[in-house]
Amino acid sequence: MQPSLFHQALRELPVLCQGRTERLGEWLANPTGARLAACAVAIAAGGAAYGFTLGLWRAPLMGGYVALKLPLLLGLTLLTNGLMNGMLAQVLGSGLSFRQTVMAMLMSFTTFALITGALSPVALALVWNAAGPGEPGGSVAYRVILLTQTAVIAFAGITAHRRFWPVLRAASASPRAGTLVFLTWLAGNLFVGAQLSWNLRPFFGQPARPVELFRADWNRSSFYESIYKNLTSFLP
Amino acid sequence: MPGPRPIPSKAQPRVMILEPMDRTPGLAATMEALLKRPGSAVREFAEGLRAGKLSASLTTVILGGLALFGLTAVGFSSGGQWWATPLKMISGLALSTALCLPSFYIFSCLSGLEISFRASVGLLMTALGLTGLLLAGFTPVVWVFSQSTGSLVFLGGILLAGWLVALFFGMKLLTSGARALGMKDGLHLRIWLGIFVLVTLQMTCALRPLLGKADTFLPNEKKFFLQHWGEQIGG
Repeated sequence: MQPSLFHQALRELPVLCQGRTERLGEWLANPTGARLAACAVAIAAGGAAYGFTLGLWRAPLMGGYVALKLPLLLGLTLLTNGLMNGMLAQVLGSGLSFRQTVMAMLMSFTTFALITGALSPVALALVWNAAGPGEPGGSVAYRVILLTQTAVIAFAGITAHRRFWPVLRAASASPRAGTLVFLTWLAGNLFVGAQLSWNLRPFFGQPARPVELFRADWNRSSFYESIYKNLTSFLP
Repeated sequence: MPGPRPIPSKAQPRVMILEPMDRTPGLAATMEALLKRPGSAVREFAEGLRAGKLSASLTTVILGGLALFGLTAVGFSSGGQWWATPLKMISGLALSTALCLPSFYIFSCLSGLEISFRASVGLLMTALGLTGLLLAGFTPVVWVFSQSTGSLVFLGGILLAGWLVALFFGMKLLTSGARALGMKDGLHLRIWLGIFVLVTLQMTCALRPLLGKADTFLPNEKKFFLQHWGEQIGG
């Protein structure tokens, strides 16, 4: 891979946010090594920048841990779902190749990382201005930060996915197949992404718990079991 | 029989016209352009022709406007605040802009704008230039109130209202400029505007006190702006 091609691909990254179907379709049709590398760099940098702000309120060390874990979460979700989504795209008759499906997912995750990365200075200012753990007003600050960060992640996730719906429709053999691929892709990412984020917790870091890279019980339950347990605890 | 001829409207067109700037963008020409033909400033940045000169003039307008606006509150404050208030206002806007600049570029892209990062900086500077110029225009009004009241909350409210009105026109210029440059969907830019306004409002708390006396230059306690305002209003 030539460095000039890589730099050109880096400069083209805003195209992913602009959402012009023809430009995105061109990326999808030509998933070059330089473009893959540019996406990987954007995911690592954007994810790390935003991840740092997620954990920073609890402790700077926690920020460092989450700076590693957020790009890891994005990468693992991509790897876990890549095979399944590639197969489903073909079974659903979209005409998209395995490589194109993975590229579409990668482009979507890159858009997510670009949005969250761009918002990380604002998130940093939010944490910087909030009362810390144990200080007066710390519990209010924790809730405000938790809600704001969740809203940012949800917004970035929805925007990043929604942007590729028209692209998949245009690139697929039929618009219906494109929509089906999009929906299965969305469902898969949500289903697996939620579980992986559960395995890689903590991200925000509860004030009462120690700062740690992973929980000791990271593999002793699933996200969905915990939801079930929480729901049944309300029953008499 | 032909109907009555429509009365020619003297109102400015809603769509911004990206006309060329007819003079070198010095201070006077820049201020005139901001008020009468903001599209010419946007065009200069989009084409990158005399961007350096225009940036310098806009920076002067922004800094001058904020410094004047801050100085009007000096009569109300006392002690070391005469220099601290203008400095804090300038720092607050500079910090807010620096924090929000990356997201401004990305949200512009999400709105469908195909412009370079440099052009997006120029668009934002033009909008802030108009904001600064309007703030300078508000200073006599703010000065009258600063000399007429002893209420910190009231003068704070006046300053806040002045800031929000000036920012409203600046951000209106921003969206018009973005539309003229090819923006397809304004939703993401509006979301960014909301974020920017919130960040600037938080600066009023992070750099407090902007008005009145203080033992320290910056506060020791961290708060969100709504909490701070609530405490001030509650006495």
